[in-house]
Amino acid sequence: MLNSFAFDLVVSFSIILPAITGLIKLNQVRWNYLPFILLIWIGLFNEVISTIFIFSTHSNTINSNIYVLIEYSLLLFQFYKWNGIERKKCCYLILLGIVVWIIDNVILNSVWTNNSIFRIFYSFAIIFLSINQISKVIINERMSLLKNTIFLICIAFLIYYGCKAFIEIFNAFHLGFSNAFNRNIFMILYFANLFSNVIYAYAILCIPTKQEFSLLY
Amino acid sequence: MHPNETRIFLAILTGVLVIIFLIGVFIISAIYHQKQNAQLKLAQLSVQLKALERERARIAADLHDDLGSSLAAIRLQIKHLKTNNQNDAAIIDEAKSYIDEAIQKLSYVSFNMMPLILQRNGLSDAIKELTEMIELTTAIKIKCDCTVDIGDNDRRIHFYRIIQEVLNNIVKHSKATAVNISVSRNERYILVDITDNGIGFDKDRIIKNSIGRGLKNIKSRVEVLKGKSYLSTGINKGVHYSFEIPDTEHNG
Repeated sequence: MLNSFAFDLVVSFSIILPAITGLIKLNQVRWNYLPFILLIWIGLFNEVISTIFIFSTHSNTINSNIYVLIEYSLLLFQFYKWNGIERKKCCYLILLGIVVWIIDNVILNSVWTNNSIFRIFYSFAIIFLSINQISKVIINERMSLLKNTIFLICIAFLIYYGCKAFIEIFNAFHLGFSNAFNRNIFMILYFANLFSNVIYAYAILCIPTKQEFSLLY
Repeated sequence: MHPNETRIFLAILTGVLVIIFLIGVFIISAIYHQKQNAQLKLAQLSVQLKALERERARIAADLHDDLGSSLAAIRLQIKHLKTNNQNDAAIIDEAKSYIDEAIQKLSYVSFNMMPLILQRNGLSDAIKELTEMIELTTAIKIKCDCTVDIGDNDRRIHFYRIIQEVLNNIVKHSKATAVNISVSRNERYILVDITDNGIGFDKDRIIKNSIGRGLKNIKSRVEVLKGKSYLSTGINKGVHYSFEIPDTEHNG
């Protein structure tokens, strides 16, 4: 039990990798990547808070439920900075997200329980925006895609939020499986999280020091 | 876990791995096709620009040799016209000044099409002549520091056109009074820097609306040279154009 908890801790704190690379690149990071860097650090802070709560109160649901709303808003703002979404649509989506969060965590359930509806909603929102952004990059980018920060981050989003959406939908059905089974299911998400954090760390290192001027063709 | 749960878990895990595998295949395919597409577009662009420059050179030569010599002949004929009538003399003088203006404009158009000095004397002299022409016709003072010569004729033309297009933009839009041009070479790149003290522009609006034909032309030429363009500006902050182009002549 302790070993598996230690493993969970190591995998969750893999977010420290992109947090460190974000710190290294901080002086060179252009304004259009700042929301993502900020999200990484808030994510790291959330992991620390979760660990403290798990040891003291045995539950990290309250901070997780608040964190996912912040995560969603920052990611939408990041897509706006990448010109992946217009300002009006960005604002509407944030408002819609807040409404869904309130329905899920206040009206239908409680903010003290692990709730899936908002997580499913925002996972799909991020997946659709990522697919859109990837298509844009493929059409417009002339250089190597494997060094394009936006492409790399969006691929990592596809993998992580794809797994997250799938697992949260599974979780939402409350099929009454054993704790061991549920834990194994969430392990898939932990590995996706680890993989994504490694990609984020590499992607941050690929952020160009000078922002090349580009026009859409 | 119950054996049924184990089977269900394995089925779910297999499903997830298949989806991740498909995403991986998509990524590899996207990278491969994007690379092919980028190479093809670059080759097409290079061919188009080459054809454009050949045509420009032909038109410039025709203008200079055919039309230019006809106008010069007309001028010579008019110069030899003698009259005692004051009105006729005034008309002859006016005709002379129109012909002179036409010859000067023809010279200007021909120069813009293809400056002969670029092929004869190289990039530095061509840029110097271009800047002198702009200083004569506008209130802009241009400081030019160009110590680089480009051996390859096609590359030389691209460099010249980039600087020409930037200066055209400055003359047309910037309301600048001073411009600094620097063309230099380091170990790996040829660096072109052009700065003006004009009114600048909203870069985000240009990018979002994909306007700025001059900027697109500049970008095309820099792409053909496999270089990178950097631009910093703001309203009333002037414009700084910076280009980094691989020095293939010295580095192979």
